[in-house]
Amino acid sequence: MHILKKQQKEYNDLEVIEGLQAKNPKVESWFYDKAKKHFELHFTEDFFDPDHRQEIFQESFLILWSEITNKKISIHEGKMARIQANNSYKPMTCNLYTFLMAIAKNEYREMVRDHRETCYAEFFDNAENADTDLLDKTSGGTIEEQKIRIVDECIKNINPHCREILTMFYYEGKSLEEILASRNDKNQSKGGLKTAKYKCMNTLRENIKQQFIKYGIRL
Amino acid sequence: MNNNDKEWDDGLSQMITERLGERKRKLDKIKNWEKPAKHVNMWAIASLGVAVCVCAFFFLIPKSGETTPILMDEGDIRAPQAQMTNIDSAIIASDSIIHCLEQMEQTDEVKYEIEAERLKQNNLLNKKKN
Repeated sequence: MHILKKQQKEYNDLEVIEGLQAKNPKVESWFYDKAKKHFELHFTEDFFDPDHRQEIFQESFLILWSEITNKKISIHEGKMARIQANNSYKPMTCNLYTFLMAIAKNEYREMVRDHRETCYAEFFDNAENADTDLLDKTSGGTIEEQKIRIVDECIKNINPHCREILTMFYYEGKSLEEILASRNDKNQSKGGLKTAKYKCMNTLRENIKQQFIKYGIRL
Repeated sequence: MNNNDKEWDDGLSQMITERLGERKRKLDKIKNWEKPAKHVNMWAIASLGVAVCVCAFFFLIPKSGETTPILMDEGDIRAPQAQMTNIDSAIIASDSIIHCLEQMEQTDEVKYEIEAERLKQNNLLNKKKN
């Protein structure tokens, strides 16, 4: 008995965007596989071990995925476009995979340098990468979409430990005892965890509020 | 959702919670895609193989009184009539296998096996005509 070769549907960039915005699980998993293969083929930075490369890819994929679901990248007049500061969409000159690699390059550099850059534009030196300028792209779109993008960006930028604690407490609804147990020694006492949780949330809220003020958004 | 931060009741905490949840859901999906699927497919294929063998076994056992062998090797010098019966038996067996497969959950692997078995059956039918 033999297994016939699978004829798998291929999605173009526009179909990927539509699928991700519609939360189509087939498109999501297909795009993930495709993006992973592209990354493995084209990511030539050998500084890190496979685990770190995996981390870079996953973080980059998450950023791209969020940009699409946040409609920072969307379909405008039948073309793939990215939102600009003046609330208009500009057609992208690169495809999703090129964009992913640009994000990955930046994640890599951040990991190597161990500090967050605020200007991404210096990393890209040709017109095709112009759309990969990630600086200041939280503006544009409806007020609600802007708020979502700002909150997402601030969540992405906070300390990973803070993010983990806040996710477990606020989203998963775990008690401080449960969080303490699952995180082992990271926060040794319940009191310490409680303080950490408060500080993390406070910092996140302040960051978000500052961004809201910057873009003239009322809470 | 924990909602005991009374001093933060301006809706921002809720938005933060929602977006933390969205991020977590995406990360969980990513981790799920990372799990190797090969072992799942191997189990599916192995189960499929066992099921097919069982089906084929029951339908290929000669009924009482039948003495015709089930399948013949190439170069068999039996009479044409006996050879025809062997092909008929093989076609019937193939039919049974397809029937068994159609009763199973129609995963991609099962569908491909059905297609493969139908191709095999077509070959047998062509052989019979010739």
